[in-house]
Amino acid sequence: MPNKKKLSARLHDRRDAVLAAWLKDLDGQLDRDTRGFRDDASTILDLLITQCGHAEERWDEAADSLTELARARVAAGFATDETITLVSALRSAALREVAALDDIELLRHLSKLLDVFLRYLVDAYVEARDLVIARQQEDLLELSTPAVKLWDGIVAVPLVGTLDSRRAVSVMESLLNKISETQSTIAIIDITGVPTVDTQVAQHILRTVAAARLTGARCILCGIRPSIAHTMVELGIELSQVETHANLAAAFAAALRSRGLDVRTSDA
Amino acid sequence: MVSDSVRPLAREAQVMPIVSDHDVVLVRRAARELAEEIGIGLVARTKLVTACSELARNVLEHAGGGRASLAVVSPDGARRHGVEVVFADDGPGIGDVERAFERGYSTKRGLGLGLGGSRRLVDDFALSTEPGEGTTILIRTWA
Ligand SMILES: Nc1ncnc2c1ncn2[C@@H]1O[C@H](COP(=O)(O)OP(=O)(O)OP(=O)(O)O)[C@@H](O)[C@H]1O
Ligand SMILES: [Mg+2]
Repeated sequence: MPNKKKLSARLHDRRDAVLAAWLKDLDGQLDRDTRGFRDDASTILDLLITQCGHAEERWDEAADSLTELARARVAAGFATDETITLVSALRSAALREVAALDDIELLRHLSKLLDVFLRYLVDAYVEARDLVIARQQEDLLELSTPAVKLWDGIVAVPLVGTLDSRRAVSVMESLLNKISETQSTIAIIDITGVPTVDTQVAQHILRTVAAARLTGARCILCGIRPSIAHTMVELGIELSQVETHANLAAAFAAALRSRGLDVRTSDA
Repeated sequence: MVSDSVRPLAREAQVMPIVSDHDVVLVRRAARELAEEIGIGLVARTKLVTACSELARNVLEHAGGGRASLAVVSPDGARRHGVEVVFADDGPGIGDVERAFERGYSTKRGLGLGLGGSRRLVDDFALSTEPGEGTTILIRTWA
């Protein structure tokens, strides 16, 4: 296809001019220093030039490279609007160079290519961002389910909110880690903050109790509100194997007692 | 085919998809809000919400997804109000309904308590299922 050859030849010849125009445009529009972006910009431009020369539409290679670049941009803290500025600046710089040839067909062809190309870049960027967000959510998940040491040999985990499978697994891991880290023999699971205890939640609790038992720790459950107790009985959830107490204070007192400690008001 | 009378009283309902864990949470929340709206007490409300959780999760786990339709119903004028939820899916249906209600019966390593338990948690319960056609379950709790 002569059009493609001509197009890629033109961009190839004017590569440095396009790059310079692109970066200059960016310098004016972005609030950040674009120096660190220079290498990436030339890589992106070369990808575009190669893509123009391809006889047939093959995007896998370009897509892979773009994904990698987008990850780097995201890691460097580029925001969404900055990425859009970035790609539209490339668009105008490239179109300007080809417009000088006064060939409407060529221009149309480049514009079409750029559309696909830029969509890949934006997709890759969005995907990279989603990845970062997912990772942050996971971090948050861990943060929101901290097992804490209450006393020598006693750890507790307060469960708050909806206990879906993902969270339940993270709670279980956090508790088991804490048990072994602190060499505890008693683990208190406080479910005061769990609004709904269904069979799934119950199963997760029972699994945690069983796993803790394997590491040599006994679990104490507390914070089952009356309405939830009613519901659990009706559902047929069997918790008779697990020691339960009304609230965290009662559970803690029982835990201390079973370690041979006693809480008293001092005489003074 | 097993069919109790799954006859919804609601003429209009809020239809919610059940295709992810998060949807189960949303259905639960919507049921809780309706129950609060018509003054269903804490214990009955907690039971209704838990039944919704079980049935929505069954739709997700055993039928690969479906939908829930929620509504406030008042059959005898405005004298009596209830929350009605219909769970419907186009999944494999329940082969042996009697066993499915049995305590401890699960085809997916669950506790096998959800279905039978839900029936005890609400005032009205009706189920209709046919192999290959899907399952529809209606529940109601009155204020
Ligand atoms: N919507 C459905 N479509 C098809 N099969 C279902 C559906 N709901 C329930 N079942 C069948 O009925 C069985 C019993 O359901 P039940 O909810 O009591 O137990 P479970 O879901 O396996 O475990 P859990 O105690 O965690 O709820 C299921 O294992 C499944 O085989
Ligand atoms: Mg179930």
